[in-house]
Amino acid sequence: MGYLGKLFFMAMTAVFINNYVLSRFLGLCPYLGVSKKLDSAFGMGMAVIFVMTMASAFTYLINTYLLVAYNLQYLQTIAFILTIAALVQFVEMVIQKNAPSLYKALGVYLPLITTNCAVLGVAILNTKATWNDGTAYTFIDAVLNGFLSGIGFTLVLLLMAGIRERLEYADLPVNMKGMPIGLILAGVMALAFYGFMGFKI
Amino acid sequence: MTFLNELTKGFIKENPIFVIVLGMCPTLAVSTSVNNAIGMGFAATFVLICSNIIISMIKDITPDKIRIPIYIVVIAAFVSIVDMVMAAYTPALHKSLGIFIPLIVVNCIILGRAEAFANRNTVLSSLADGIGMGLGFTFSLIIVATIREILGSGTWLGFKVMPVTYDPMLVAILAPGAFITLGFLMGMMQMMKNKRSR
Amino acid sequence: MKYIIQLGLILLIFCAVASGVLAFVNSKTQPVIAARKALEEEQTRKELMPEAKVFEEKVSAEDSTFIYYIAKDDKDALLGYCFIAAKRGYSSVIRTMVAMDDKYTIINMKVIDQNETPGLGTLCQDKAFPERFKGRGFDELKADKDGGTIQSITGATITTRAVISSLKDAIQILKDDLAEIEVPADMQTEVKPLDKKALRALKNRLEVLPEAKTFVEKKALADSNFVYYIAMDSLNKSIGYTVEASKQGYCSEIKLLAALDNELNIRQIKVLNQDETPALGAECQEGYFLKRFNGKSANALKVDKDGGMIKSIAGATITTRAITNCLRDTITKLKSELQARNTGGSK
Repeated sequence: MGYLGKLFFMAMTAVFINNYVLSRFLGLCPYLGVSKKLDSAFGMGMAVIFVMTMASAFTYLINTYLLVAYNLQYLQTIAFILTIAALVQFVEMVIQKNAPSLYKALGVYLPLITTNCAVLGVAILNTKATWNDGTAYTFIDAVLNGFLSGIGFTLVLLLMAGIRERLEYADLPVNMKGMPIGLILAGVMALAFYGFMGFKI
Repeated sequence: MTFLNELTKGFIKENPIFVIVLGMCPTLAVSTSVNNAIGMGFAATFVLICSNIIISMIKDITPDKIRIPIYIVVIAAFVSIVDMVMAAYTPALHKSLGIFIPLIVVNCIILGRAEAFANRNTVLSSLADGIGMGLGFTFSLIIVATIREILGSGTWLGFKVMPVTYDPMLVAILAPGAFITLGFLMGMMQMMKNKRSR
Repeated sequence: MKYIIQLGLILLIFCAVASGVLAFVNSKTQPVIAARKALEEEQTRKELMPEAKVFEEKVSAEDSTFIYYIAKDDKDALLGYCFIAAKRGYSSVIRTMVAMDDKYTIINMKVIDQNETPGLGTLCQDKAFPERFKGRGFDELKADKDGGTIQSITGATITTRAVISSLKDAIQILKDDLAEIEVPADMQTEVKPLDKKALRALKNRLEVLPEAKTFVEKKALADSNFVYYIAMDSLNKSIGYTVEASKQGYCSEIKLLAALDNELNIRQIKVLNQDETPALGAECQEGYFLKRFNGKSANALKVDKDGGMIKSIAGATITTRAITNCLRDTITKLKSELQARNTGGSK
């Protein structure tokens, strides 16, 4: 399997087989909270892809050249979350200054991302992830994995928002409106995504 | 009086999971068995209590501008302590909770309580709030886990409770079962609320 | 500006205090974790081999990450071996502690570490699973889905396969490490003493070119990664070459060792490593197939499907093609290397 094949494998895993939301249960708060409207779901998704890619890159460097190099793995959690928080703050400032239109679209979602566990999750999992042959991820692998996981997150977020927009007009039992039906919907989607399981390349 | 109020509100009135809908990731991910639910619940409760106490203690010396990073540092420190202590003394539990222990850092309940409560209340009531919210979280986790474990494995806390002929409904302990169980539980909470208000 | 520095300092103080506390907790818990892990492994070893009194720790000479234990009873008699086999399963690395007797038959085993799909792959930790392995030797380790007799876990074939293949890999390393390698006494080697890995390579070379008395290692002028050996007889006259070749086959990397005569025709080849489809591609290591290459020159190496003379293994054209093409490429490379050396020498 060449590198392209490995990439394809990684993409399928991150987007479908081990989707961060539906099979790893990461990033559920925005998944349930920001999926009422398609527009805001799209904005959130883009912001997550952006931050996840950046966070994967930075945390990989910090982990490899600081934590592992000086045997400080026990500081991993604190170092990663601070990196992500600082990164989000920095990104917010930069795009506010240089790309006001982008800031208008993503701005409101950026602060929320600090507490999106999918971002911290991908950073931690990148340090533990291995290929099938047992070799650890390289810098490029980690960044790509962050990017692809973001894509997977955005995909299910958009799917969910699309369904929920239509659900507004459905005749539901009063007690099931809102969050309960949203959760059951997520369950049905997770069931559908289970179809990708056992699908090995 | 108020102390008792802060202590009990987390169970029903301001239940973090069913009512405020915070901290969904661990709720769904680790509720595959009651054992995991208790472990996760107490780990989060410990972090919540400690961070609530520290944050209410330092609220006068933290500049408003950098309060969020400081909260994160405090919470992350306690999470790391829990992580290491669990690895040392309850390795099996530590393994089955896996990545969700470090992820307690981003559990919105903890940061949420720091920002909404401990930040502006005394140490004592923050302690009560931490205990109440933490136990409310644990309690909700146990409910979800009970349903999922009984349906999915036919056991409760590892003991067989279903008849031998019961064929476990595997889907209940897989991801879809988590969503659907919680969905119906929340529907029931809404029903109770609607009935009471009528 | 002063305010920002002040904020930064406050944050720094918090981080420093937090790191200090964590360092302290870490220093207290780290030894506990290590000790507990060692104790657990020791207990598992005793559980799997209750009659053993002594476990002697050994590190494999070839793979220094592989540690195994030689189990002996109170009379110091050899009982068997104990080791941990590990391989990636469906969603995690599965580690299995295995106890074997001195004839490499599995006495007992236990999956000690896994994080597979709940309700499916996790069943490998059930009591029923190790039972399927007890009393089996190396050749009987094959899942039912692959034509063997080990019953797979329903819905978790990948997990089952991973456990089986981890066992096979580990047993192979163990066997290799325990096997005594004998080389004829009159064999002349440049470097002495040879470690086990080098000894095995020498043994392989001897197998394909038994007449050789000395092998002289050469690195290609153009590519220092390309290594070949010139085989000499007892009069120090060249009788041929041996060279390793490898290429991706259908589902694994196939590694070959070829012995060539002075005219670069193939004398004999040997498959060093392959993990192709059982009963199809895996046939490539059988003698009847390997004989098809004997006496062939680089030009004659072409699979019948491509209009050549090498008969393919039925159902495994890709494997055959990989072997044939990598032999051809390697021999061609060796030819140009030898030419380069000759012209270089005449200058």
